[in-house]
Amino acid sequence: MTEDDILAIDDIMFTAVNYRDWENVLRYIGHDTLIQIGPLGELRGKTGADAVIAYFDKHYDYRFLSWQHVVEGNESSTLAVARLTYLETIHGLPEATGQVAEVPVAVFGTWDNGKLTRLRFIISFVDFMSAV
Amino acid sequence: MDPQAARDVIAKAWHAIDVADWDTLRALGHKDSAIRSGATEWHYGPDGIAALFAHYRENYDLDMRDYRTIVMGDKAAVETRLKLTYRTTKAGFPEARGQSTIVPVGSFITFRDGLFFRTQMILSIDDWMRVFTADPDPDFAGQEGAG
Repeated sequence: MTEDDILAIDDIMFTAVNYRDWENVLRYIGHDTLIQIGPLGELRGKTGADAVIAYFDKHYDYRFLSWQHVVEGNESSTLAVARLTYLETIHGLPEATGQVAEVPVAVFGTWDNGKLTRLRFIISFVDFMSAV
Repeated sequence: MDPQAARDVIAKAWHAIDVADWDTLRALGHKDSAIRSGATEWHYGPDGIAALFAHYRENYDLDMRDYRTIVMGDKAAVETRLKLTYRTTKAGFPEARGQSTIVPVGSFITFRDGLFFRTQMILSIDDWMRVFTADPDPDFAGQEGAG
C-alpha cells in the first residue's frame, strides 16, 4: 500500500462520510481497529465505528467542508473543517436549537494491509461551545 | 523540505515549549509566521506564538515529549499526547494541586525557508477541562506562585 493509495482512500472516506456512504467508510475499518474520539473515548472495530456514527447522527447534522492530508509511510493525518448543526441536546451541554458551528477536526490514522489499525479524531469543541 | 530537517525543527520547537525556552521557539518561527488555535483565534509572528505558549505556561506544565511526526513535502502533522499539569491556580478556576491529564493535540504545519510558517493547532476542550478533576501528578512539587 503506497502513500498515494492512502491519500486516495483518505479522500474517498471524507467524501463518503458527506454522502453517508458507510459501506465505503467501514470497508477500511478492521475488527480490531482502535478508534479514539473525544466524547466517546476508545472504541474497537466496526461495532465501535457504528457507535460513533450513531452518536453523531443522533445529535448533529454534519458535513466536511474541506480536508487536506499529510501521509508518510503507513501513517496518515487529515486537517478538516466540519460544519456541525446541533440537533438533539447532549447531557451537560446547552439545549440544541439548531446552532451551527464550523469546527476544525484532526484525524490521525495508521494503516496495515489496506485497513486502518488505529484512528484518532480530535475535534475542537471550543469552537462548538462558542457557538452554542 | 527534507523530512529529517522538518523533524529536527519540530523536535526543537516541542522541546522549547516543554522547557519554556521562548528565545529558541521565536528563532524557529518565520518572520511572517502565524498559528491558529481552533477555528478563529490567530497569533502572529514569532513573538505572538511565543506569547501564546508562555500564556499557557503561566498556570500549566506542558510536557510535549510524547509525539509522532508525519512529513510530506513542506507540510507536517504532529500528533502529540500532551501531559498537562495544572501547576498554579488560574483565576476563576479550581485550586491547582498538580492535577495531571493527557490531552491529545493535533498540529498541522507548513514550513517556509526551513521555519514554521503556518500552524493549525487542534485540541478538544473536553480533554483539557478534565485536568481540573484529575488526580495530582505524584511528581508534582507544589505551586510556584498564583497565576
